[in-house]
Order: sequence, then structure tokens, then C-alpha cells
Amino acid sequence: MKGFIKKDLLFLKGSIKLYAVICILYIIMAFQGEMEIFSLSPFFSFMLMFTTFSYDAYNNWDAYAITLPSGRENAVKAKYVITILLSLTINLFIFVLGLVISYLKKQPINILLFISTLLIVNFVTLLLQSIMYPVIYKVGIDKARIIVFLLVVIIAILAGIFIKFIDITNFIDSSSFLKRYGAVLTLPASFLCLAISFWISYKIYLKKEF
Amino acid sequence: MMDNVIAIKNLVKQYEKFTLNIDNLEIPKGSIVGLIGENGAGKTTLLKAILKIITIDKGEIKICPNEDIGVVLDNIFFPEILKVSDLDTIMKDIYQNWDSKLYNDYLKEFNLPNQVIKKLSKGMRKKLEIAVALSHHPKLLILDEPTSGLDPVMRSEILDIFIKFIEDEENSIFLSTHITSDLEHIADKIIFIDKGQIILDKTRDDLMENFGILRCGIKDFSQIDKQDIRAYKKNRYNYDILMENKKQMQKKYKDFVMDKITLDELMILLIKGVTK
Repeated sequence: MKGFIKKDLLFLKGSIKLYAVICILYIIMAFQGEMEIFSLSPFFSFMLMFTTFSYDAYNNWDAYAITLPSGRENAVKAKYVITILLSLTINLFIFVLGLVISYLKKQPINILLFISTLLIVNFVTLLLQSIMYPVIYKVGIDKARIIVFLLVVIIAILAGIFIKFIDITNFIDSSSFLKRYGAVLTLPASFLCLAISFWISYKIYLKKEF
Repeated sequence: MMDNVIAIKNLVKQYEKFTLNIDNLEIPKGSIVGLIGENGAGKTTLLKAILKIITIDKGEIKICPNEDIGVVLDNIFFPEILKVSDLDTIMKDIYQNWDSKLYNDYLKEFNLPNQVIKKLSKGMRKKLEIAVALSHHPKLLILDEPTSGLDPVMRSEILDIFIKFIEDEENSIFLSTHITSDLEHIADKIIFIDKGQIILDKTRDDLMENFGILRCGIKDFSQIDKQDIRAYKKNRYNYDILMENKKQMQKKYKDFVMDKITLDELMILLIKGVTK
């Protein structure tokens, strides 16, 4: 599996200058208060993972990967491990960035609230990725892009309706359990989502023909 | 009995407009077996089924573990954005027996520069694929059109490497190709596939010694015993007739010219000619 992970990391290394420029733009906008730094997490997670899937499809890599030792299992496993590694790296980066911006702007930061928000955004990102990967394995990256786009639009509309009719602050406030442990619970929930997603993706990939 | 590195029984893979149907196929250890057939005959489908890139509907395929197989597929498959040296970094964590020194030796032998794969020519990419296929000490090579895009000099060098690879009689090669002259030089056995079925499975010596092409004029065709004809093709001024038992037929039809068969002619006669 290590070889498969290295392959994807080498893919990403190939476009590192582009990612660095996007990152710098993000930092500048975040510093000026025009961009919420938490949005960095879904943006980068999706962009980087879509890139690895797209390169695989473009280069007919999957057909070859299957002929390698434990190819089918390792190919799928590697994607999920990279997802976790990217999630850790991106969130650590956002955390440090948040502290630096707070220090430079001399604005005190509520660490607990900051981490809670980070965890919740991370959960939503991983949840969407968990839905997205089996779709990619089933229909391919090109069709999956359209499906994911539609999914995000639907979720945004539903979230809009939800927020309009239900006061989310009251909703969380009314549940002391959610208020206390909600953010922490997103961690095991994220792993559970990824584990279920991996199992579905692997089953799909076992039967996939290239 | 000779060991087989690949053994297939009653394989069926059905598509909407094509069915691969292989009753029996054996690749003996220590041999080079060539798979020939026209475009769309099922060569790549058969190799993909053997490599489990596609699933099969029925049948049984026995083959050694992936660790012992080196593969070259018909389409490009190495990520173009990577450098030649990146493949060493990746493959040493994929194959237990990956040999970085051997890989670098092949790169030197094939004059492959360490640059981004997309900058390599088609022939150079093919050489890179062959270098990777050979660098983990495989016991079996499965190659789909391994010499396509290579110039004659490079093809000859690659064929020499293949011959060297099977010298110890433990290693084997199963390859498909359109360049049938390559197989005439190196293959121990030829498998001819047409419309998803094997129509000929013979050793090269058997083919070259026992098969021949009888050339006869238009008027003389009626003198040929129909039972002796495996396939024939009418040309403008003569008939080309594919016959087995060449020596016996030479005696029987001593007034006619009996030529040695080439794999190209065999393919054309069996596919485009009239068969019994």
C-alpha cells in the first residue's frame, strides 16, 4: 500500500507550486478577514483527492494497479489513508494559521470554539468524501464530479431551509449532550463514515473492470 | 508432464456483441508463447481476463501470484506527470523483490533519461514499461503488444532480452503482438485467436515444419483434393492453399510449388481465406 500512497503524493508534488499559490492567496484573504479559514479544509481536501482520482483515470492506472500485488485492495486502501493524512495535515495547518492570525491581529481566540468548529468542518468534509469515493469507484471520476456538484447544491438548499425554519443555536442549546460532546463525537463519527465508505468502495472495486 | 504457468479451462466472458470462449489454454513453464489474431479477435480481452483486470462469467484460470508476474498493457498506464526515477520509488514499496539496481541497469541499457514520462516518445515509454516489468525478477511476463512503436533495432534488442529471460527454463512469457515476424524468431508456441476462440494452438516448429502454402494456377485448382485443403484464398492469377502435412503434400502435388508458411500468411488465410 505504501507504494500506492507514494504514487499519489508524487502526483500532488507535481502540482505543488499551484497549491502553494492558492494557499498564499487564501492566507492573505483570511488575514484580511475576507475568507473564513475553515473553508480551506473542504477546498483542499476535495481538490487534492479529485486530482489523484483524475490522474489515475487519465493514465489508465487502475488497469495496471490491479496486476500489482494485492492491487485491488491496496489501491482503494491507499486513497482512504491519503484522505486521513491530508485531513490531519490541512487541519493542523489551519489551526496554526488561526493562531498566527490571532496573534498578528492581536485578536484573542476562543481555542475551544476554534477547535470545535475545525472538528465539525472536518467531519462534514470527510462525510462528503465518504459519500463521494464509492460514487467515483462506481461511475468514474467524470460522472462523479457532476453527482458531487449536485449533491453539494442539494445539501446547501436543504441546509438553507433547515436554518430558515429551525434556530440552530436553540437546537444545540436545547441538547446539553450535543453542546458538550458534539464536536468531539465528530472524530469517531468521521472514522466510522470512512470505514463504511471504504467497505463499500472496496466491494465496488472488486467487481470493477478496466 | 511439463508444468504450466497459466492453465485455462472453459473460460467464458460475454459482452453484448462479443464472446470470449476459451476451452483450453496452457502456457508451459520455460517457454515463449505468442498470441496472434486480428484487431478485435479477443487478444487483449484474454490477457485482461488472465490478469483479472476483467471478471469472467465462467471457467477457471490458474496462474502464479501477481508478485511473480511482470506486465505490459496495450495502453499507456504509467502516470505521465511522474519522472522515470519516481517509478523506482513507488515500485520498491509494491514488489517485495523489486531490484533498484536492475531497474537502473535497464534504464541505462535502454538509454532512458530520468525525465517526466510525458516527455518520452512512444517507443521510450514502451521500453520503460518493459524495464519495470522485468525489474522485480518475475517468473512470468504477460505482455500486450510489447514491441509496438519500437524501431527494428530496439525490437531486436528487446527480443534478445526476452530470450535471455527464459534461458533458465524457469521463466515464461505470454505475449500478444501484431508483429508476427518477431514471434517467428522467438516463440516456442503460437496461439491463434479469432472471434474470441482459439483456432490454432501449435508449437512454432510444428507450424513451420508441417504447414505450407501450395501455389497453383486458377485452372489447376480443381486438381487439388478438397480434403487436403485447410484454407484457401483466390488471387488474381492463382490460388494460395494452406495445407498441413507439408512433406506428404509436397510428394502428392510435386508439380506445384509448396512454400514455407509465414505467420502473416497463416493469419490471412485462416481469417480472410475460405476454410473447410
